[in-house]
Amino acid sequence: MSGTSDDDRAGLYVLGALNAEEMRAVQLAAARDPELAAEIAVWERRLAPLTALVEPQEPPPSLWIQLEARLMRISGAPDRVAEVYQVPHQRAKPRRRGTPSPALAWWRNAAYGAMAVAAVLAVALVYKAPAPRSKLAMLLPARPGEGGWLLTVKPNGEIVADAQGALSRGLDQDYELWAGEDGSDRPVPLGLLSVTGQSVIKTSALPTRRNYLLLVSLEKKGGSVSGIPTGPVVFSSSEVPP
Amino acid sequence: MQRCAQGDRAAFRALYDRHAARLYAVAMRITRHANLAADTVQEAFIQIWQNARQFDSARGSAEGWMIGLTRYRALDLVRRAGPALQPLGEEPDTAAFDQLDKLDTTADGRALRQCLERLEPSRRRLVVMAFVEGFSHAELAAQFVIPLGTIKSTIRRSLASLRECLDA
Repeated sequence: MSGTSDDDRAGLYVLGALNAEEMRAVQLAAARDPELAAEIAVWERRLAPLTALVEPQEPPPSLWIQLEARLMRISGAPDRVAEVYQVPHQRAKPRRRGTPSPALAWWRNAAYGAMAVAAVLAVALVYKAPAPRSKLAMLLPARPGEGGWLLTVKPNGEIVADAQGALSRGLDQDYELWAGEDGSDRPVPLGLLSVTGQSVIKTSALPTRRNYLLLVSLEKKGGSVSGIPTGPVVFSSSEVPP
Repeated sequence: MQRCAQGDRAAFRALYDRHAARLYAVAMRITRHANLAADTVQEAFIQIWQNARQFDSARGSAEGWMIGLTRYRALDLVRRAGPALQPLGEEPDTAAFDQLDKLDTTADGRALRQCLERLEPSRRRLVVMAFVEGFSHAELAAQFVIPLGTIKSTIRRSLASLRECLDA
């Protein structure tokens, strides 16, 4: 976008015509440049009436339930930073072999509880454990009776995926995990997810500098061969810090 | 919004009841997937709850602010998910793009409709499609089978015409 005025950049940004890199560049510039931020606000006012062309559509009732659960966790979570929440610190106790860690047990309880109300959205709540700094993400579907994954992203880049509930797919299909980095319009493939039990993905492809989203697409057996998702993206997470 | 900024959950619920359907529809048009749209709206409402104090009514309406948050989240998600996300799922509802009388519910909407109608229909459709469907320059070029450079210059000229008309 070299040679473009602030007004051009602001208009293109609000219109939604920019790619991921250009969007990020405008966001960063607007954070430092009040004039550009003001231009963006002006274009937002100019174009906002266009949303009247979209007929309102009721969201699934489960959206409010999940949102309320998020709010409760936010209110009770210490050391909150943006959308990342610390797992409540628990004093280390000796654990029996096979007993899940407190954080994992907490999440499993949360996952099962959420499934029990049978009204959970595709949502990922990202928690960062105090030590070690593993990050936990929960991917759950919108419809009751279906499953998702509890993902643990370890500091060494290893991802442990615990399948939760019933996950449906065709015999000739696989679920594939991706990382969509902030400012990039090309997600990187991380590996295939098993629909039962636990799968471990060892990868060095996780973004290390910017936040990313964990995305799951439904691909042909063996995963995408093109290096980008070719099937529908059916799950997405909140921001995961690098 | 002020009550939300003070942590009033009931006010937040009222805000949700009033605006969730519009925000969900906006997210659905851009993500074209119910799960992703629901996730987008949920993240937007979390952001609304956390940043309600930053809302400045002098810069626009509360609904406009919330729609902006939702649109940028949805756009960010589809851009990061890559080009495969867009062609899958529901096709654009192009018939809606010609129903500009829906904009007449507000004075700003009427002014925008009058200025849009001064654009050639093909240019008008590009602008509306980019905003409503969240199509990037490259996606518009592929959709209309027009060179990328032509799309970029056409949109830039269209925005300049709109600005001139709306500011007149």
